[in-house]
Amino acid sequence: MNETPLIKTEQLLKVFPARTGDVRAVDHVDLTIHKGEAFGLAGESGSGKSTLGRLIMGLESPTAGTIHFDGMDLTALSPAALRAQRPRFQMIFQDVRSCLNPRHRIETIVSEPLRLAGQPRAACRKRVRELLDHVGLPATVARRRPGELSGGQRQRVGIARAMATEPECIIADEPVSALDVSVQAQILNLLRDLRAEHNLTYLFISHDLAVVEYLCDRVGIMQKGQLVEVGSAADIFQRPQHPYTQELLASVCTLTKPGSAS
Amino acid sequence: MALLTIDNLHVRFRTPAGLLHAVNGVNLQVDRGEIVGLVGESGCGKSVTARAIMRLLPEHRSAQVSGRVVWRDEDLLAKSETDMVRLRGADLAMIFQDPLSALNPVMRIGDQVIEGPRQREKLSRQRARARAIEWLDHVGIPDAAARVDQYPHTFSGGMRQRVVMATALSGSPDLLIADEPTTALDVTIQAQLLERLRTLQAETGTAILFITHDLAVVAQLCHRVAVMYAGRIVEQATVAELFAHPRHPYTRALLNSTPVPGQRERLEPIPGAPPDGLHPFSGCPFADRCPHAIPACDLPPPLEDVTSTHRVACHRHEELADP
Repeated sequence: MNETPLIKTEQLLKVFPARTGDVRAVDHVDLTIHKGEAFGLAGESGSGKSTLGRLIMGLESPTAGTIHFDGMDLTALSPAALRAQRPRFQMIFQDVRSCLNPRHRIETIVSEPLRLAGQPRAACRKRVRELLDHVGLPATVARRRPGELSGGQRQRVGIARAMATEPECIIADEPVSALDVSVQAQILNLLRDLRAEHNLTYLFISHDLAVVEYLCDRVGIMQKGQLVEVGSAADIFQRPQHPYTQELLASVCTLTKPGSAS
Repeated sequence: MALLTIDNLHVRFRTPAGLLHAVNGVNLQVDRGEIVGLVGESGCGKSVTARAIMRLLPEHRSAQVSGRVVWRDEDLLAKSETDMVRLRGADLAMIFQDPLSALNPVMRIGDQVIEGPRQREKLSRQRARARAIEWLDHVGIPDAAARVDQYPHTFSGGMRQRVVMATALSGSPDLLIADEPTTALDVTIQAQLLERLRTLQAETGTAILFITHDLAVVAQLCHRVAVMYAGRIVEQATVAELFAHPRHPYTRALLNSTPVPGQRERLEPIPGAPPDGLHPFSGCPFADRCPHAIPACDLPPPLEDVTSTHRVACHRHEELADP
């Protein structure tokens, strides 16, 4: 593949100092994500998958190493130049309760990225209606506040906000982990549809392997800050090579549905 | 033989928004030595049911509990708090999702593990300590003899939950109620803990009421399962029957919205949201989200026998059965 990868990290290192010794949350990770790909990052809590996502998003600064986005070295960009790139990659979070300002109305929340990009008010309002419709929320939600919505609705608001700037890439950190399965399925299908419609690239972070397998084309497994195995979803789930991947898969409680082949 | 029989249990809470109907007529039986899964989504009333059995609800303040919880021919709901204190730990024990809040941070874990039996059996200090080490070893704490004198903060999440398990089982209860005990744990730790729980259950014969939102965990651990929705049990069966031939549209919808390994075909989510409990309903609670609802669903569906071990509360379960 000679196309420039959308995201490429090289020897990315993030060390958090701690009293008990430094913690290498992300330990020399080389990760490549191609345009239009859904890349799943799986691993247990503390494996560094969220930190890796936050580094790529620019929410943490790396101790060493580089992050390239569409060929540009994000770590070398000036703050102004980085801000200019911001609309191209957005993030959604697990805890929608804490990532949505409880005092703001939904329209203010969803239009914030647009206002930051300098769009006029009227255009923002129109776009908010489009976005809400797009993520399956009624227009009346615009005047509500986060506290009046259910968990699934709040996650839809988070997705609408992320989609506001028409990003090329979405980094999703455990977006469905706090939701009940019936609602989780609604959001997973929404993420699938948005990707197909907008040719989005996903970095999808989750501890839930079945969810990763449902949504992603390629998968990376993290353990103690290191990316121990990367491969196609089929390879990782059917022919895992690394002992840790094998252990992880063996630990998953499996469910056979009525009428399924096995 | 029935160890515990829950008979028409209702729980309501007085809230500022009005009366909240959390449990609406639950009937459930747990036999000696079996593991029964109580499964449902958040807010369906599964934890409230468990707390009602243990009499841990704020009955003097907001909770109104009615029905019967029969334990060895006696109604637990009629017992005094003094009697319940005697029963808890010795006959019925309960463990929760968050092990850290279940443990006393300033008490050595060995003392916590053996606190109940030590008081009841008047064990000497040495005997109690030896028993504590034994139990810590049983639940799989490595180097139990050295760790018995340590405090909870020095243990990882998975190890803490093992300590809590030892605490609950050291009194040799006849029934253990486990409320989402592995939900906060990583999958590898969860697998180890479930394995340990299954082994201990087989050795001690303690019956378990295992509460979870995770159907896969039920499939792996339990003998029987009851599916709860909006404060009612909508279907109950052996694990084999339920997963092979689910009858209730809610059970089916729940299975269809759960991704399983290897799944690429589209999930079928359940439209809408569960009732909030503030607006009591007379008919089937699932009707407004159910693709098979008919006018008859305005009347409450009785829990009917499909087989001697499979019961379902749906007016149309016979027509909807797979061929």
